[in-house]
Amino acid sequence: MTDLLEKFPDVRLHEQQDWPTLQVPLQNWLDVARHLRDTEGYNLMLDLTAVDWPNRPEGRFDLVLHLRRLPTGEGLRCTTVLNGMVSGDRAATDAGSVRAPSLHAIWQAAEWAEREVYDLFGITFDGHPDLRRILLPEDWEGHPLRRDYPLEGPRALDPASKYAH
Amino acid sequence: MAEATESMVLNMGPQHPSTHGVLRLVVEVDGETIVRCRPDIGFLHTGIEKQFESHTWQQAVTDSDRMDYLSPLTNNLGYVLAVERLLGIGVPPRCEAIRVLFCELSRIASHLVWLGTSALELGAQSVFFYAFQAREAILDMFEATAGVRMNLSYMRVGGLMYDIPPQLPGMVARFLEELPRWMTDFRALLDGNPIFRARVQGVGVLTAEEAIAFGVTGPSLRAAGMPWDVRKTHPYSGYEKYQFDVPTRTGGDVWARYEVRMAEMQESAKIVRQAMAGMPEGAWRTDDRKVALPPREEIHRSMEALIHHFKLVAQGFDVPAGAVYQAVESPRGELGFYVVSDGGTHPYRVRVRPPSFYNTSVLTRLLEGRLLADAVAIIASLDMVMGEVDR
Amino acid sequence: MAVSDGTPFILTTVEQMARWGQKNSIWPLTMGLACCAIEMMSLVTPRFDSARFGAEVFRASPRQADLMIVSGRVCHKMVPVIKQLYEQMPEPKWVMSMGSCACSGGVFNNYAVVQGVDQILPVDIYVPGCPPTPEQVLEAILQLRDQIGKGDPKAGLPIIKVAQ
Repeated sequence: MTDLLEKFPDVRLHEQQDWPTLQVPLQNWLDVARHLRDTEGYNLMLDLTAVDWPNRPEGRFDLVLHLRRLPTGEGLRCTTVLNGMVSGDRAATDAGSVRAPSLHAIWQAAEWAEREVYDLFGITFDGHPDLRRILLPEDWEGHPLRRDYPLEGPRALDPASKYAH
Repeated sequence: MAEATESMVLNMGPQHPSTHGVLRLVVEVDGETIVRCRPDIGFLHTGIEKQFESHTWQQAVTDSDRMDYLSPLTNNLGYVLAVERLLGIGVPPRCEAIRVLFCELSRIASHLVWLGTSALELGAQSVFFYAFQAREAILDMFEATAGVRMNLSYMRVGGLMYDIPPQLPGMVARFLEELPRWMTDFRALLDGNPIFRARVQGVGVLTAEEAIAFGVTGPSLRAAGMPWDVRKTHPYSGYEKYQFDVPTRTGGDVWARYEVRMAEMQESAKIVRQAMAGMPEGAWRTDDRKVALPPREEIHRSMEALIHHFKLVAQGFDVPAGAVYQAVESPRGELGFYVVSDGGTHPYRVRVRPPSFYNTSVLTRLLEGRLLADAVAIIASLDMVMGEVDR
Repeated sequence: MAVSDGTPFILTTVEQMARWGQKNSIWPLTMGLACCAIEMMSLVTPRFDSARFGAEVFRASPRQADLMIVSGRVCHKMVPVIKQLYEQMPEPKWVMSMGSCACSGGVFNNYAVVQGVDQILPVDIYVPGCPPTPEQVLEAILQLRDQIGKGDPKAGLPIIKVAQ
């Protein structure tokens, strides 16, 4: 890991957490990922997800990446903070204001994982070959896993919606 | 005059006898060959990850069952282990042994459903009946212990729902006696059938590199030669105490995946036997009263116990702020729970790393260039549960 | 055999025979959605054996099925599919709402789950449970058979609530 920390001086390694965790600035996200796969041998992308901290000044969303190095299985977590002003109208479709680079060219598994993060959080992945909703219907409005989206969804937001039953 | 042909787009699902749940495949075929395949998921998207956030930590155990509903206890275990790590508490050895026992029984039950439905889709109807009949013994054990056949929510943060009932050891012993006979029957019906072999051998080859690139874990990865099993490399809940092998094959085809799961059932039976034989006496839940309900008798005697009980039921306990990723080996692969707490009584975010989601994504690669008739065998061999894919 | 409503004797007999035939050969449609689908599969296995009550085969094609057992949570993306399958089924047809999710949304009162399949289809019989045991579903099939045997007046009733 010393190679990586030398090559990317703004990356922080936290070793006291349950998994070693790299805190990566967004501008290094794609290059660090490539380095991790090609040089450090983290061949398995377990998962890519997001966490929403709506009132956090440094940035609303965390992107969290979990990796393993097979066959031995050491795990690594990478996180980055996405800065972005999100529209105050929570039911509106995201206008692409929160963006991150897509990792699909490094791990094929990222293709579907990023689609899900787009669908449920409204984060746009630049360079993704097919960024569209994966779990919700195509014409759904809003991103349900955001903390300001109500649990009941359309029933609470727009009772006249066809999804309000 | 030359014949002009064009490819045809065929829709399989989401209601289909052979797509293992509500999976939709949009398949472009040129004659019998699949040129392109695009899975369409989301027909069972239930909002479970959001639902976790609206429940207390203990209530949320019930949300975890309903994702991978064929093996509900592995979901329970992944979730409660993650929360226990955030709380910094452990559980007594008896609790660990019971958890392992039930996870392995779940694994056998899940593999039996896989076996029955996969064989049914390939035409072996008797195997379907036999497999489900064998599974009934396990469901009876679940019902005797938790009152429910499926979706048990038997585990709790800090322990279990109840201790195991006195008739359980006898039921387990009888099941372990009968299982070899069932396995012999399955082998005779399937392995010995040249039609079955012709339909699965050499079909749907998934290499280890492809599998890893798509995030595939579990039996499908082990059938491609990569011996990766979370129970061995990162044991949890006392798995390091049990002797068992991790079956691996190298063919990577449907036949190899079948062989791996059949062998896994035998290995799980070994673990069940050891867990039952070596079952420690003692408490089945933590005695940390901030987390686990006090015993009923104490509430009548002790004011403090009554207050604990009231607070736990009315409000729930707080979990210190932090985040943890807990992986367990479900019958489908690495099931991970990334649990984030903000210090409150409700989970802040629970991300479920769903093995079936990634196992299904490989269909885009796996079905291209194959015959349409092989699609059924290939889909069945990946053993995806749509409840987990869509959550 | 009462003919108090003035129906000629021979037609009443034919109708009763038709009902007898219908109730003894209800062929369900394979509409397994989630966890309840597994218990529905258990229903055809030897221990519970729905075949002895006439549900001999589960048909994958709605054109050949009589009973749609909605087993599991109904999610928004699935709604048009369920409606289309229901429309494809020939009359007479019945709908069983199996499981708490199909009855009312079950444990899932959230954005993703339709709060009961009766929001989109007319339901003839509800079976609560999470999931209901196969015995409960058998009881429901038996009750449905009785309903059919008596001359089910609900066939063709308008849908309770339609989401546009």
